[in-house]
Amino acid sequence: MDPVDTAMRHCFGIALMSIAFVASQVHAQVGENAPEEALPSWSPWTMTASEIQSTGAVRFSELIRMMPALETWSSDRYTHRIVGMGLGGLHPDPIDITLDGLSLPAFLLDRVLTESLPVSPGDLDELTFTPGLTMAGPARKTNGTIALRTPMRSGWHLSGAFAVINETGDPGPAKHTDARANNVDRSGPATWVRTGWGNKRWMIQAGVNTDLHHLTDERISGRVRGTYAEDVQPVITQFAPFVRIRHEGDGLRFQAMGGQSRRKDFIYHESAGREWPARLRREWAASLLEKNSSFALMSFRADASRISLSERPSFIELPSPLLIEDASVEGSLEKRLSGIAFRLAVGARTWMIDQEGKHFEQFTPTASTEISRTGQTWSSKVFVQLSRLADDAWQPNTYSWLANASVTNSGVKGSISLRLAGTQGHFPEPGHLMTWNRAEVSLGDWMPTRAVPASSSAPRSLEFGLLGRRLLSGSWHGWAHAHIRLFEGHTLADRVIDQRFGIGPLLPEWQWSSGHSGWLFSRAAGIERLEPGDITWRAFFQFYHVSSQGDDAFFRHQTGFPRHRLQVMASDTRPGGVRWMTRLGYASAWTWPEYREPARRVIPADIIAEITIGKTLFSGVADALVSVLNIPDRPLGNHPAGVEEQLAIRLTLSVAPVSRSQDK
Amino acid sequence: MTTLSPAARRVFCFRTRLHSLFGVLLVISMAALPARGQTPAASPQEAFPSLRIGASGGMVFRESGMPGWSPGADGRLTIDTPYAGGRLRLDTAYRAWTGSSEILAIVDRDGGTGQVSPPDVQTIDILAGWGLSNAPDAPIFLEAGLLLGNRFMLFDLPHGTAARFESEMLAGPWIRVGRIAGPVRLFGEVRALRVLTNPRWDTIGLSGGIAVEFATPGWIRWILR
Repeated sequence: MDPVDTAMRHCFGIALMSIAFVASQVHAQVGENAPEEALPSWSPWTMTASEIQSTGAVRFSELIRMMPALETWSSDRYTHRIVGMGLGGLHPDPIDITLDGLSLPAFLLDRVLTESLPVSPGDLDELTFTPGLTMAGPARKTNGTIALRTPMRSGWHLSGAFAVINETGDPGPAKHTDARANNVDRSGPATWVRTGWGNKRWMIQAGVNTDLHHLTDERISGRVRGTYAEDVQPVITQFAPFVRIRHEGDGLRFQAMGGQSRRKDFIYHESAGREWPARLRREWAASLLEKNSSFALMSFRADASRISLSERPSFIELPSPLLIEDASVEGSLEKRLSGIAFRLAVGARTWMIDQEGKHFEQFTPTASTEISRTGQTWSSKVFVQLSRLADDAWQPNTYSWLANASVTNSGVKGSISLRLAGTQGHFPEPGHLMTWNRAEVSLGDWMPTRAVPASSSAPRSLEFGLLGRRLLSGSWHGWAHAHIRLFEGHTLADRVIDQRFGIGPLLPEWQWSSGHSGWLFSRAAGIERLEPGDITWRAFFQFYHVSSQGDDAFFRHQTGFPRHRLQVMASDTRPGGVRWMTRLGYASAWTWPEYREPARRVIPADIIAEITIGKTLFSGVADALVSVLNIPDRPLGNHPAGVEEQLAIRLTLSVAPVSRSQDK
Repeated sequence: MTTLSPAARRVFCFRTRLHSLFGVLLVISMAALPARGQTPAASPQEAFPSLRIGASGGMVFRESGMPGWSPGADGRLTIDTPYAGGRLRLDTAYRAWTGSSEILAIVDRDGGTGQVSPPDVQTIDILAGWGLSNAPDAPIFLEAGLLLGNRFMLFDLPHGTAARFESEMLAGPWIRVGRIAGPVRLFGEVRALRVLTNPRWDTIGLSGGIAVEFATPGWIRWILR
């Protein structure tokens, strides 16, 4: 028998036993007079309001890049791919981003469009990442969740922020004496503005995020100049207004928001090997209603989005205008019986891809159930979602399921949590390149369309995670995390790039290839000190293991042996309004195996050192922060085709001239 | 083995000396650290009790990295106030640089050379920093600290020219020594600044001037707080 198949069978066995264990815990708690309050939540992948404000970040993606123990990569230092703990490799499923419990899907071509979301670091009270396979509503499989929490406002508020990053190393006056000298990256200004009113129960808010990012790095501008036919500097611009209404009552919870983002973009994809100069427009809306009646907790959520992509002047034939519409609804009933909460939900997701009148549609009804129990020391949860693909393009796997189960024991001195998850079947995403290729979307000369082979079996994944935390001394805690994910029967992009690296496109040879298996194992350990009013310390070490069982395409796709990382973060807000944050880290050397010799380059070990220091002004009305990024001034790069960062300085100014915000 | 041309060797030697000078200035700055600020660590009620405004003029006596320009004299305006055991300082400086009449330059992307006349440039430095000072009651005062900011450059080129305006980060240490006469201070200052361009653009400047100290007006204290 195939060793991977054997491993999968063993893991399914472990999963079944663990689910039985969880169920027994739930059963054991039925007779227990457990209090109803939730256990104090904790995660090593959390940033508090004080830490968030100490970073000086104005872009949401910049904040994600700085999150403890969470990995991202970027080819242009603007669009960050969220890798999380690395369990999906470097081309993972999307991450679910929720704002006060409402999921905001925004996935396109391997990336979450974070800058189109109605959120900025200045909005946030807390940011928490949770790794692992889960569902973000009907038929939306995700590789983890980033939960954002914002305060309920009281009274009128008006606030905003502005930041600019200037990378050192420009020639300055030497540009007039050396025609070969080029400017390097400058990023920003990135801004956000918010205004609104609230009374602790109701809140309305309107806001806008704007952004500007110059692609002056020679690695990108050299490629872009081969496709982009305007005689101006290639710049990414973003304008994203939104409105939001929120109600937090005793028996009723309601939230609705909607907005639009317009972006002039240069979308890099490794299967194209170059940037797509595109106009990206996204309209979106999402809502959540929860009513707690004497019978049950009823909830209803819905979201809809439309992404349109159109071309910009180009020397090559770009993809024809493309429209992607995506909507989902879900209703659920939750009933608590003898301390156990039973939730039953039904929903559906429908999406459509349209190009020049050619449609590709999908309708997926879903049914989910969740059983959970929260006791004084034990909490447990089992979740299952079953979906059916209505289109026969995904045969023979029209039924798909995802299940996860977790059990947590928390005490005064520590906690331990076990999590299991498994999926089987297809979860097609309309923003995924494989779906575009199935839909026979024409991508012009930017990227030739590749046929997707039929799968002979359903893709499966299984994961197992263990997270423990223990009080060490005083307010110091130690934690350890182990997470393994097994893959079987997956269809992956098998890419090889063997051109000499330099200026110009990196045209890959690639195809879709099915039936790939392997596993990834992430282990991490850390210590932290979270003492209100004192310095917050977080330190962690993470290392990965990838086993492809000889499957080269899996190894290349995942990608290879991702770097091990060691990082220390400290931050503090002092009386008098001085705040600071520092981040020191090391990431091991790395090669990206999709790039073969001579294109392959060893990405050297990175020493990461950043410091931010700031001070409130105007008696707390304004905040000015200076960040020095990449202090060692070593060229930092995390992608073979990406930019190399140099010593940079970020200036951030935030103001809140009218603000009487309070936490709910 | 790489051999340097005499001109390159001179630049290299000068840059090495300049680096040493930066080191010396930094060491002196650090040596001033044990000295206490003019006021004890301010409580929120007593923050920013006084303000000192200074005006000075100066010149560059060492420069490297920009062989095509000659620095002129500069004018500076400085505001500083006691903060966090030392002094918080805001600083602005203006200087005009004259482009050489002719200099050998690289005139195309293939490395071809030719004679060019680089345009004159005016620079404005906006800097902020923090430093330490010796005891306030001594007749002679010594202060040292670090500054960080931006150099804005306006080249003498027609409007609409792409490279007419540039701005680059700069940082460096400073030492100020002077005599106190009531609220008035006469001082001399040495400042080493590095503009973070490629190649690095280093200057060491001397300046002298006068500063006046007075109680911080309430509205300025509100801004700073």
